[in-house]
Amino acid sequence: MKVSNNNKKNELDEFFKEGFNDFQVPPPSGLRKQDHDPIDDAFQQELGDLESTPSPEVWESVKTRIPLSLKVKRQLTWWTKVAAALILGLAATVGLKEYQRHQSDQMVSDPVNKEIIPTIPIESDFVYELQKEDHSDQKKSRRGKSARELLSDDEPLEEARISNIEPVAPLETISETAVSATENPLDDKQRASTKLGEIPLRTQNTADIESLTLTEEEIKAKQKKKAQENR
Amino acid sequence: MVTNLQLNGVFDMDIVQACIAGKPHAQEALYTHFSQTMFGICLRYASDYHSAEDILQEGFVKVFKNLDRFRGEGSFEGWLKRIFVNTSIEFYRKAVTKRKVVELDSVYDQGTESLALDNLATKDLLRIIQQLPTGYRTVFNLYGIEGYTHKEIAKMLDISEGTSKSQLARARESIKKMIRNLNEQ
Repeated sequence: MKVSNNNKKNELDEFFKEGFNDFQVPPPSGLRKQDHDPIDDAFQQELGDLESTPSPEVWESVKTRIPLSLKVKRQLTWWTKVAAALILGLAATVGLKEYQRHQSDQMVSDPVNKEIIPTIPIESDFVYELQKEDHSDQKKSRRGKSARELLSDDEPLEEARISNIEPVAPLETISETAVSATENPLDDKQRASTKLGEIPLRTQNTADIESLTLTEEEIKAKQKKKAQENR
Repeated sequence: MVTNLQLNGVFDMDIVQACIAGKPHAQEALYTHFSQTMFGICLRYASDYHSAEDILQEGFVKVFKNLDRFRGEGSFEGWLKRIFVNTSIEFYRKAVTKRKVVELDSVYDQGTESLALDNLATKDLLRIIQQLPTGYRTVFNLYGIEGYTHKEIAKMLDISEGTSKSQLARARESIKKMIRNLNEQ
């Protein structure tokens, strides 16, 4: 019985402890007087309502430090807000247009794009030439490809172009003879009298050069002439 | 509207609204109306006139910054006073970090019987309170003049209640000693 009574008491204590845990008893009215001194009263009486005029500089410096938001609020009436919104919208539109124009200009002036854009109109001819010169097995793979597709191939363009030309003579020689043939077209007599030695060649493969500069008939005629001379 | 604002001793809540709306005349009117009372508080908490002006300036900047937070519950003057007391406490904290509060143990001796407080003018009392070390002065102001409890002071100044009590006791003793010196002169 005693044990159960003790338990009940403890529970009750705990209950009250929890209930009054955050409860603060207000100090009795006379308590402050215990820690009170006549000096406090004297000072409170004299200095409690003390008033004094500060120097005018204080307001001047306070004025400069008043938050900008309080100053700006005064200026922002409803119509200034509308005007500001309109100006901002207009500026944004103009800015966007200008930006888009600048972007397109930049695309055209870009060296990579400059190279691609002019080649587009001649791509069909170029591809046609390649196809003409291609071998039969290559023809199949390259036919129908645009220049853009060819550029994107694994094989670089220059290599692709060169690989399609049969190496007859060194490139330098071919170009020289080609230039001389186009700039000063020879008539038959002149062409016949032209000696191979007169052309500045760096190769000994004269037969190949002849095959480029002379027609088949001219070569045959030349070979006949040579044979007669030998006899 | 703004130019017609007249305070005539009684503060008008419309002025607060005008200040929030950014009317310069209202802001100046608010300052003019309360600056003297608030400067009195600053003088009590500061060690000298210039420090009091600094507190006043800082306090008014705070007032204008937080003006829109005033909900109109309680008096506006009470709200202002709390701002200035808090600003003074901030100055106290700065002073405490700069130098340790001077301990004046030697002033623990006499009682209050022989003090002739009536002979002292407000100016003298102000001088006495300003001569107290920062910690003593702040606790004495908060407890003796403002009427805060030691618990509240401890919370405000971030010190223990015991420290608040001892600072108050030492402040009183210092004051008594200074009054005696003044009366002897």
